[in-house]
Amino acid sequence: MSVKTGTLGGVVGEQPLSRHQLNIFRFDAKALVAGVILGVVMTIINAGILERVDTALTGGTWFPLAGGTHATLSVISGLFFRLPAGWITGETNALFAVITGSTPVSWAFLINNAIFPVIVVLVSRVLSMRKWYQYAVLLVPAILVGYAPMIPATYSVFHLTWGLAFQFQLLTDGAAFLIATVLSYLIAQAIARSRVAD
Amino acid sequence: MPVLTTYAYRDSFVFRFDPRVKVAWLGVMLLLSVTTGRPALLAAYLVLILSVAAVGGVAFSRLWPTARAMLSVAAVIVVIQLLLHPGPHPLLQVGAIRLYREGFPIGLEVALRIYCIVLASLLTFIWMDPTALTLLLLKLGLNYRYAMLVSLSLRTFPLLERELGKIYDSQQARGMELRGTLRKLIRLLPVMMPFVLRALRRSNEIAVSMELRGFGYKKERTWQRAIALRPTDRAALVVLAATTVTYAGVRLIRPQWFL
Repeated sequence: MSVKTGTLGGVVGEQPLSRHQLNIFRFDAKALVAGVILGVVMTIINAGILERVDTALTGGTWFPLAGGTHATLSVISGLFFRLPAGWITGETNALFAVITGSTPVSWAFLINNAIFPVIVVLVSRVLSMRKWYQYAVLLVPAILVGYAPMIPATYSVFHLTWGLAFQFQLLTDGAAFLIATVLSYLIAQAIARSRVAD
Repeated sequence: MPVLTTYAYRDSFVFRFDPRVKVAWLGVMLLLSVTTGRPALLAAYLVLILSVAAVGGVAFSRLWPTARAMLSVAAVIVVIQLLLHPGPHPLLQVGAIRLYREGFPIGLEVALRIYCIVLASLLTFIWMDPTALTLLLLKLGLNYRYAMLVSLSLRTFPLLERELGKIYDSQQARGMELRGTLRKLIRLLPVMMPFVLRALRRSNEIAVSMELRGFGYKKERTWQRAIALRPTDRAALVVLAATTVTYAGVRLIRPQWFL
């Protein structure tokens, strides 16, 4: 497997956080297995605790908590293990979300989780991901575009108006952005320090 | 409570079916649930799913944890629909919030549909041997490097759940109060951080052991087991196909029966 090395053009002199960050794809067994394992971790945290709390609070119309951990683990997977691991993480979570019934709109995760890692992988190629604000920069397009398929899903499942579905999605996006910026920065730094992803 | 009820073989004809029959059954149930809007029919589908589960050797107690967890979801869905569909028949008024009777059938429809989708999916995965699922994906043309990942996820799920339990216990032993959902939410980071790191360490170990056994060394690999359709599987597939065609015909000719 080839590993591209070097500094990032946009951030002169700053080494990327992950040594695979300049690649888009990683097909080694470690990346594939890590993709699955992170998908299971995401499911256990979200379907076991957060999505149930969210659904009990909002009926599943928006996710004040689960969006944050979903975005965090999708960023971790995409950042360190690239594609297709990012897709595997997301789709593993989507599959389990459907069979555990954690939220009424879980089938829409299949589409969300296909888009989100692509944006994470592409944006993280031009950022070193060593500063907290780079996670904010990464998450804005990833959340806005990646979570957009939830709008028609919420609209159709809950028989809402388009305006209300859009507002609920903006609430999810805002909460996910705030939580994931903090969590993904802290966890990514811890992973890089521990070298468990190298 | 475990998040997922996993596969455990029982000597029943449903467990012996080819995975294609189980997937086809799931497909038919999803089609029926998604294209029907009448609550009475959705309730009938739900009864059908539970009956098939009982006949197929899955006790209701195995489905109950998921069904119980979804009760609160269903209740909130119904309340939201009562709130969002104003009409001439108010049901209840609390301050400025008014609930309307018009939203009840919609709420019931959504809740029953979700129950049907979730229980049918869960039942299929209780019936589905992870190895058989891998073999099915291989038959569908997926590369074995990816097909194996599905069964890997099903097998590692209970292991990682136990790992999370151990992390909770360790943090509590260090004096962190983690009883109750609210406390677990507030102290998510001290639990999530070691959980992710331990999971990644485990994934390293799994990947290394897979590579040592030759994972990815050759483009093709051999399998100890194979899946093949038996006469009973073919008969079940014919019944499911006939059901789908009949349903599609009636749905097209008499759409009002389903809405």
